[in-house]
Amino acid sequence: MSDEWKRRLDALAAQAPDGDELVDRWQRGRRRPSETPHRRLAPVLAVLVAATVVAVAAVGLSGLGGNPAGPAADRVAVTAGTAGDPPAPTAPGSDAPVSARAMTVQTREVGRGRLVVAVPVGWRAETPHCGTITTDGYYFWIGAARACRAAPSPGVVSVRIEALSAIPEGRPDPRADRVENGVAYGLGQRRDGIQDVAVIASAQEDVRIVVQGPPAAVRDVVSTARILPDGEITVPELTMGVSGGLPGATAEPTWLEIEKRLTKAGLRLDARTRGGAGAGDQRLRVTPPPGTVVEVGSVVRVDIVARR
Amino acid sequence: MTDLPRTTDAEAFVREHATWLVRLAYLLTSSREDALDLAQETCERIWRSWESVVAADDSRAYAATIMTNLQRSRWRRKRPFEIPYEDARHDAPARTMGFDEVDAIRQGLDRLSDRQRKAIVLRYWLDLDDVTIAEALGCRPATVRSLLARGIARLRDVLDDDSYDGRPS
Repeated sequence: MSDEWKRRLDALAAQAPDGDELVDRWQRGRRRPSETPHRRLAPVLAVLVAATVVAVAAVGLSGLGGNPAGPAADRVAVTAGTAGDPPAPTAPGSDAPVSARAMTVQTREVGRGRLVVAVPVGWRAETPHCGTITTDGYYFWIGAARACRAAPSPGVVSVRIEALSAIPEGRPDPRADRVENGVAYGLGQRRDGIQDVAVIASAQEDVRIVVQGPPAAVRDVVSTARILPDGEITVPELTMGVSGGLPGATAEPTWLEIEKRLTKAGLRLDARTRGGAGAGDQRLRVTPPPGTVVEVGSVVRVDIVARR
Repeated sequence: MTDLPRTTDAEAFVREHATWLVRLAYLLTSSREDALDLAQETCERIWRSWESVVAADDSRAYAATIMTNLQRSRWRRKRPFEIPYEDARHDAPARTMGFDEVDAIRQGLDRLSDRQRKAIVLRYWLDLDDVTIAEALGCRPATVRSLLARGIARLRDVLDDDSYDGRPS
């Protein structure tokens, strides 16, 4: 019996990150405390390095007749110390330079419709409070926010994904005069000047992706933008609707609306209720999560679960 | 005076138990990013308290106590809801349970109280006894037994599971 619980917990524990990732983090933090990236910036730096490698790889493929707009690498091997690091220090009691250690960075793609960008695997689908997220991540947006909107912290990198058709016209987007992997985008700066802003919009895909953050991080996220090939699609946002909620807040869409969104994307619905849900405060759990790239025709599972 | 022996020993401990530390942290948080943060803080604390770690009867139990205490303070911080990774990103070669089953465990743990969750993880994953768990949680062994019984009962409700008879082992 306790073996059964052990087995179940083992299965869940197996989904934890690799131990090597912890060792690498810990050693960097302890050996170079003054140079350790802030937690929020660490994934961004990872993307920066990864994007550089992807770009180099794309150029290489292009020279060989490959497709430079191909999928971003799911796993990118890089060597610490190659992305503008200061001279490699040595560990206490060791002559080996820290930069000799190799680390691995993983990214995944998120987006809406067939327009996607690559973000670090560790990024979460954040729930913005007052219209602003406080830690690196991506989020879906339908324009509803309470009146406590705040400026983002300068170091936070965010990817906002929204339906173009839901955005009022006449918005002050930067002019889309740049192209990456066949995707046009505009690059500008927030009015307060603390962050760069890149806007990728596609009327065909009905999507607008807004990337905000430090200039280098924004450019590197944008450099991974691409349109998915036929047969692939992203899971649509299913947990937010624009009607039926309190003023300034979002509401859960109806099952009909959920099914309609999935059908439009060429996906199928598997609806379930579990965990005693049915009364009281509930929320929707979507698997795979909204924004994830899947094959057209895939089944998306939606659970109604009790909120903690 | 050089810090080398401490560095070497603590490093060796962290290297040897890194996977175990991250997995324990993941079971306590259900979040890969939070697990890495918590495990990293624990490593730092292990390094600083290395003499106490090596003096403990069971250094891993001591490390688990450090982690649960750190988690106690972290838990109070507001935590954004994290959507779990989809099945394809959790393809562990040795995994024998399906995604649904594993996800149900995660959801079940998420619905437990902080102390129930810790008690269950420390008992059933680390196989610690009531007294050690009580020390880690700062309570009496009888309280641990109560936390385990209620926690498992609640998990069973969530999992709709009849494989547990209600008694702590």
